[in-house]
Amino acid sequence: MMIRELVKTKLRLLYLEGGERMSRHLARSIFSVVTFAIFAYLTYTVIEFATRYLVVQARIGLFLYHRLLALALFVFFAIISIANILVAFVTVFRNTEAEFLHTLPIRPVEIFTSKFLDSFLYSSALMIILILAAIAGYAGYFGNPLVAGLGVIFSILPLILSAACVGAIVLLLVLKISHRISIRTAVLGVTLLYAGSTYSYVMLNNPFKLFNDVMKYYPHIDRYLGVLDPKLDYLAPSFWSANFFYFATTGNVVGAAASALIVCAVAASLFFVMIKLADKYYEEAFWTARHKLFERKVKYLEDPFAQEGQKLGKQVSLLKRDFLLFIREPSQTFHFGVLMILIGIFLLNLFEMRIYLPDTFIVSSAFTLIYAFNSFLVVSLAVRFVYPMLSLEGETMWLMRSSPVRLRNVFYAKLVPSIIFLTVVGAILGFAAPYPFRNFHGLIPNSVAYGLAGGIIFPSLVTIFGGAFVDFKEKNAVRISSSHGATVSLLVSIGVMVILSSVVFNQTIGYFSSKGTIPVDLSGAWILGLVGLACFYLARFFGVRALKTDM
Amino acid sequence: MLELTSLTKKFGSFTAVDDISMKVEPGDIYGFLGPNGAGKTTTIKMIATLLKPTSGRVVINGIDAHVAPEKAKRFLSYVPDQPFLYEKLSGMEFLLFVSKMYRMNGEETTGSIREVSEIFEVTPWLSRRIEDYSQGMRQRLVLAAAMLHAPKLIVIDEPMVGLDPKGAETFKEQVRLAAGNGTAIFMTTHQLSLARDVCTRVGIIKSSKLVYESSMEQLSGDGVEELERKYLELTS
Repeated sequence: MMIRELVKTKLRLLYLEGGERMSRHLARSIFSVVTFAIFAYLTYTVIEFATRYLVVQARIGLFLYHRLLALALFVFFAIISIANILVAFVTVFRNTEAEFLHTLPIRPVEIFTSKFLDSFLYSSALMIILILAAIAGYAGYFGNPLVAGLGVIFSILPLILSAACVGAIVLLLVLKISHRISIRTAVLGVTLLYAGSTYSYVMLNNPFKLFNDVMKYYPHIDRYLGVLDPKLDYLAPSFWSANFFYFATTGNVVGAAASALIVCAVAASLFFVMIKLADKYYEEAFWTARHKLFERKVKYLEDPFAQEGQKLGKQVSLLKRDFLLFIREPSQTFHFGVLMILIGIFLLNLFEMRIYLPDTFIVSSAFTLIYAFNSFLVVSLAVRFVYPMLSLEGETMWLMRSSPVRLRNVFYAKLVPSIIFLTVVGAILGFAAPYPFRNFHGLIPNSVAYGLAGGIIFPSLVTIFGGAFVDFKEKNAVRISSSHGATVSLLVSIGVMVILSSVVFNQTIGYFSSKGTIPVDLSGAWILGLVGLACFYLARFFGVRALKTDM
Repeated sequence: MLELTSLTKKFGSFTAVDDISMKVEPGDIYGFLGPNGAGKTTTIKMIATLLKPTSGRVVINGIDAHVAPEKAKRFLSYVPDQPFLYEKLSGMEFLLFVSKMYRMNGEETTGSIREVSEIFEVTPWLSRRIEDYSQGMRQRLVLAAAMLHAPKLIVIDEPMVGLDPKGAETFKEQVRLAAGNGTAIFMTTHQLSLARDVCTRVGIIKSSKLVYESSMEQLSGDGVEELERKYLELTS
C-alpha cells in the first residue's frame, strides 16, 4: 500500500522539521520543551485546584462537575473541528505537496488520508497536550490515574479524532456543493452552522440553570441526574466523553465502558464516513478547489490604471498592501469572520447575562473567568493573525530588502494596525465584562484598562515569537499560525493571561466584598502600560532582526 | 501516446483553453509554444490531471486521464515550472519515495536511481538534503525523478529553468534518447532554439487556441528562422 510509504515519509519529515541550523534549532527546541512543560504543569495545577474547589468548597456535586466538563469538551470539539477545516483546506487542497502527489499514480483517497493525518497532527498537537495535562489534573484530585489513562485512550483521543473528521467531512461537502452555490455562500453557511450550534449548545446547557436544577436534588448531587440532560446532548460525542469520566470516577464500570464504546464507535464511524466520502469526492473536490484558485487568477478586475492618480506614501502603501493581502485570502477572512461572530455572540450574552451569587469568592472567580475568556479571545486573534505576519513577508523579502525602505517601517506597518484593532476589541470586551454583575459600573474603568493593556501586550508578545521563530519558506498563514513557534507564543501568552487574571481577581474581590462601595484600585495601571511598552520594544527588536535575517 | 480531443477549460466567462485537439505519438518531442497567458500551463495542468477540463478529453496511452487518473498517471511523468521538493529529505530519499509511488521494486529502483543520477550528475549530492541544493541542482534532481520509472509520456513545463549549459545539454541528450526509446515528450518552452534542437513537432497556442502545428521537417531552412517568423507573425 502506498499509504504506508506516504505516512512513513510524513513521519520522517516531521522528525526532520526545522533542522537547518543546529544551534538555533537546539535553542528553539529547549525553549519550546521548557514552555510546554511549564504550561502543562500550570494546566495540571489549575485543573486540580479548580476540581478541588468546585467539589469540596463550592460543593457543586460530581454530576454538575462532569456536565461542566462536557461543556468544556464541546467547546474543544468545536475549536478542533474549525481548526481542522482551515488546516485541511490549505494542507489537503491548496498545497504544493498535494499538487505534486496528484501527478503521481496514487489513489486520491490515499493522498487524502496522508494529508488528513498531516493536518490532524499539525493542528491538534497543542489541544492534545492541553487536554492530557488537564486530565492529569483531574486524576490528581480524584486519585485515579488508571481512569485518566483509559480516559485519554478511549475517550479523549477518539473525541479529538471525531472533531477532526467532522471538520474534514464539512470541508469535503462544502467543496462538493460549491459547484452549485458559490464558495462564499457555502463558507457563510458553515460559519453560521458552527456559530449556531455552539450558541444553541451553550444555551441548552446553561450552567446557571443547570446549577439551580441540580441543587433541587441536594444533598444527592453526586447521583447521576440524567433526567436533567437535554435529549439533544446525546448527539454530542463530548457528552459521552464526559460521561465516561463520571461513570469511571463513581465506580460504574458498565456505564464507563458503554460511554467509551459510544465515543470510540462515533470516532470510527466518522473516520469511515470521511474516508468513504473522500474516496468518492476528494478528486472532484480537489479539482473544484484548483478551479476556484485559477478562476480567481483570470477574473476580470477593475481598470488597473484607475489607481494611477493615487499618491500614497511608503507607509500607507505598506499598510494597503498588507490589508489587501489579508482580505483577499479566503482562509484568513473565513477564520476572522468565525472569530468575530463568536466574539459578537459572547458580547450579546454578556449584556443579557445576570449573575447574582451570594459568595464573594465565586462572584470574583466568575468575573475573572470572563476576563480570562476575553483575554483568550484577544490572544487567539493575535496568534492566528499577528504571529504569521513576519513569516509571510518571506515571499517579498527580495523586494523589501532591495528597496529603499526602512525595515523598521515594514515592521510598524504590520504590528501597529494589529495593536490598534486588538486594543479596540479588548476595550469593548472589557466594557462588556462587568455587565452580568450587580454594581457593575464601578468595575468598568478597571476592566477597560485591562482590556486595552491586553490589546497591546498580546500582539506584541506573539510578535516576539513570530520574529524568533520566523519561517520565510512557509507561505501559508494557517500553517504558520499552527506551527511550533506559534504554539509556544500561545502558551506564553496564556501564561501572561493567567498572571493578569490573578491580579484582576485580587483587585475585584475587595470590590465585591464591599458590595461596590470601595472602588477598584487603578493605581497600578501604569505597570500594565510599562509591560505593554516593554513587550512592544522587544517585539520590535525581534521583528526587525527577523526581517534582516540572511536569505 | 497523448491525445487531446476538443480540450476546453473555462473559468466563468473566461476561456483559458479553447477546443484544442492534438496527438503526440511515441517517439515524438512536441514543443508547445506561445506567449505568456496563452493557455500553455492550463493545458499542461489538465494533462497532469491537476485541472479538470470543462469539456473534451485527455487520453494517455489509451486511458482517459480524468476517468481513470491513477492508471493513466502510471505512464506519465510531469515536471512543473516550479517543482515541489521535500526540502528536508535527501536527494536519495526523494528518488526512493518517487520510485515507491510508481511501485518500482527494490532491484529495479537501485539500478534506475544509479542510472538517472549519473546521467544528470547528481550522484555526489544524493546524500545531502534538498534544502542545500542550488536551483540548477534541484532541476537536475526533478528531471532525474521524472526519468526514473521510464515513463511513456513526459510532460515538462519550461524545462531549462535554472539549468547551466552543461545541464541543458544533458537534458537535450536525454530527451532525444528517451524519444529514441519510444517515449513521447510534450514540453512548453519560450526558447525557440530549444524547440529547433530537440523537437520533432511544434504547436503554437495564442489566446487559448491552437493556431499552428507543424513538424520540424516541414519548416524551411534550419527551422529556427522559419519558426521565429511564424511565431512572431501569429502571436504579435
